[in-house]
Amino acid sequence: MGIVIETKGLTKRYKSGAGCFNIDLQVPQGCVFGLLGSNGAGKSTLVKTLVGLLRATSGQATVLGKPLGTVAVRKRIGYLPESFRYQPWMTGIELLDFHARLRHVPAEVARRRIPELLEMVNLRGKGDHPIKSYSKGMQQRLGLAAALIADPELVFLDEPTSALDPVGRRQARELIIRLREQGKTIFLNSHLLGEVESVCDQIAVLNSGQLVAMGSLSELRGIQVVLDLRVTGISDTVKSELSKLAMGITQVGDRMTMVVREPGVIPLVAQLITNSGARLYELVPRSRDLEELFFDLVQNGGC
Amino acid sequence: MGVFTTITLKEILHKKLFLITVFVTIIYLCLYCITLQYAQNALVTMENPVVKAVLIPQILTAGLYFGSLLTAVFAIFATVSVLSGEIESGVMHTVVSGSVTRAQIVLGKFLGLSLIGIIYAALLFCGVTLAVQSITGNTVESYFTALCTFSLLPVFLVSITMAGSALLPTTANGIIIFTLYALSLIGGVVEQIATITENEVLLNMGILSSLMMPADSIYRKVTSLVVDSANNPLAGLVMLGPFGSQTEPSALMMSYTVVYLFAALFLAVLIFQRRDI
Repeated sequence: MGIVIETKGLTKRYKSGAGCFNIDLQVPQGCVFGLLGSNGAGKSTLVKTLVGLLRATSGQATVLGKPLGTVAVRKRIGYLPESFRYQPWMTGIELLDFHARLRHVPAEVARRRIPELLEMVNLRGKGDHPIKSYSKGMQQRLGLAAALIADPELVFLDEPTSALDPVGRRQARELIIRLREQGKTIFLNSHLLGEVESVCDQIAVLNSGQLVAMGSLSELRGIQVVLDLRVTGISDTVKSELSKLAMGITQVGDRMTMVVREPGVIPLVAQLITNSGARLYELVPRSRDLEELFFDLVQNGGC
Repeated sequence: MGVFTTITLKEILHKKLFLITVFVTIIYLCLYCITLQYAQNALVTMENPVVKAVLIPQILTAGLYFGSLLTAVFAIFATVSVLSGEIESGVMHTVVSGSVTRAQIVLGKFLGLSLIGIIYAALLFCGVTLAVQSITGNTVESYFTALCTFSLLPVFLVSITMAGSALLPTTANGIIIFTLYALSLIGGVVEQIATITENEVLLNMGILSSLMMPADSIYRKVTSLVVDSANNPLAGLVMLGPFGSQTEPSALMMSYTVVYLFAALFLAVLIFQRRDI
């Protein structure tokens, strides 16, 4: 499996000082790569730099094996921007035809592909309506179709579901999975953790313009286990003993949450509590979800 | 590049600006024809041939002067947001990420806007001159050369407005281009006064404003062409007033204008290629 995007020390610094800095990234071919980060973390800046809208301040990067921003590369990529807007006087079909011509798609291929794409993004029958009559969600669907008009190998989707309703979001997720099945690489920029968790094979997290984590979801989660307990009558001495087994421990009333390094600790925890005379009503081990991981990375700067 | 020319033409035709311009132009030409007809009716009863020899060419140059104003306003308004507006709205994001160069985008839009500007200017020029010819019977000298020179005005303004649009936000660009155009018009009038009064300071001020923004020189060249000054003993009287041209802009000045036009276009491409979207 080849590498579709590779960056080394890629930096885009705005005059304000914001941007993204020293990004070292590798995106394998055929995967859905999720870029996570809070608002202003530099996600869109990184995507815009990769598609050639912004000029990198320093560092190196290749997309599909070629330097950033070359026409040859842009022919092979699709892009749905975060702040999408299309010529309001055009119809949906005219817009897709315009984007087909921008990407040198032969006319006969475009004629065949436009109805297929309109069907794919659930805009069948709306193609001859002017874009100014489209809702925000319909425009975003049309943007998805425009990004796919040239059958690109690599698709950058910057917040692709921000304007969609729950049904639209689900359809977009299904579309992303379908594109992956066709062997395409998807670079998904989102702050919707559930969306990223459900479709992404690889994840990178940006915080204040810096890449703070990258890997598969299981790699990022590590082998840490979260234990949700319901316990009463626990003494401070026992609690102190438990904290020696845990990486983190919190208690609210009879509810306790512990993060332990590996599942082998679970029997020790149960034994310690029951031997102390405290009453253990519940002990549920689970993996850390992406939300916990994300907050840990963004607020505490690491796992 | 052709795709941008086509799309720019279609976009202009869809804009309210185009409809408003067509409407205003029709009203202007109607008013102009009515004025000409009244002037002609009055001249028929006059016995002094000098008045007729002076008045009709002056009405012609006045018609072309206001025609050039309409053309300038249309060219500037149509171009002022052509790059900056699309960047600000986000339309440009998907366009620039297509497999086209940024130079193709700028040049394609330039061609589209210039084409519509040329068509508009040519129709306006023909409207004014045909009205003069049909109502008064006066002929317009150097018709084709004057038509081509008049049509240079929108191309010139599209070029510099485009350079501004590549560099500045839409509002700032509009203010700067209109200020420069106003400066050029004032400079043109100052130059006429300077020539009549033989005041060197005023003349230098006029020349300086023409060098900064040679739009008015294009109009003055047109008036010099349509009124055959060389063979008209009353040329000095005909060219009196703000609409005339006491001295014909030189070939060097016209060459400077063309170089200015291409330099602005080159600058537009250069700035747009380097700017962050």
